[in-house]
Amino acid sequence: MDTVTFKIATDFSPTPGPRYKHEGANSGELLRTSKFYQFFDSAIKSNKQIVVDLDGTAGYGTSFLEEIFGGLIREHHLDYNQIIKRLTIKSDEEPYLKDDISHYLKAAHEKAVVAA
Amino acid sequence: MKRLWLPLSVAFLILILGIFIGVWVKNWPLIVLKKEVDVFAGIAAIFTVMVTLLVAYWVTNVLEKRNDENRSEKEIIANHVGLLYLILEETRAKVKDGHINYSLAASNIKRVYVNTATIITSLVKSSLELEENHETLIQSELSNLKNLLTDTVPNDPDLSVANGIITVSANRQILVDAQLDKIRNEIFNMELAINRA
Repeated sequence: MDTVTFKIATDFSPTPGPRYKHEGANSGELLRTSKFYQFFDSAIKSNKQIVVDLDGTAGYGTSFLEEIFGGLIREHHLDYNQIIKRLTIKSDEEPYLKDDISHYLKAAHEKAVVAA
Repeated sequence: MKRLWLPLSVAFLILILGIFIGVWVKNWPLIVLKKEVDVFAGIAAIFTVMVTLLVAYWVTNVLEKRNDENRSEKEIIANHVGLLYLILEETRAKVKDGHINYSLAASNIKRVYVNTATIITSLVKSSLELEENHETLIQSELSNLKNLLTDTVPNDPDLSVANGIITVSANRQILVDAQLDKIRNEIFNMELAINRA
């Protein structure tokens, strides 16, 4: 299976910002709506593995990461299992972010299930 | 190599002196020595003396040198720990003002973690391993700080973001202050463990 990679530091910004667009520059909402959703949707439709590379930025706030990953399920209704099956997080600088992201995806999925 | 000359010269002089004393005692008329010399036992005795001298030299010099190197490395690493305190205090000062840039808050938390990880890696490379997993302990407290400072939800009275600047309520400032102290304490524990290593 082919792999596509999204490196946030170079494909978006080396200084990620807050959650929403109205809160400031380089927000999670901006990344999700302008690039991230299309990237995931396209990869899932073309049956590709997804690598998201988190290294090389100044650092991530909690709500930025929650917005870009949890928002894929909450706002764009992407399938949780499809994401989990394909997604590999590269985070050599902060390895614990992998667990954080798994948690954000799972929490968004569980909320979506309850809402449905 | 220069440092080797002095102890080797002294050892050689002692050996020569020992041979002279041996010959003198052997020829002293008041002492009757057995004339048949056990050559093998003699060589073994000389060998034993030489090994003893070498071990003594190794213990005093090589081990001491290794201890000196470890001490120097520990000092370098301990100086690096000072950077962590500076980052935490910069964060504390900004939060006390009630405002901190979102990206700066996230960046400072990452810097503390990455520098801690670097310190632990340096310790392992220098064979100075610590008993406790300080990296995980500090990371856990940093995650709590990150949530207190950057986990924003709409209409949160304690935390709001505008133009990339976080505004922190007085109540949240107290919590952040306490959390910064917890991180400081974990770093202090690591510092003590490095000193003991």
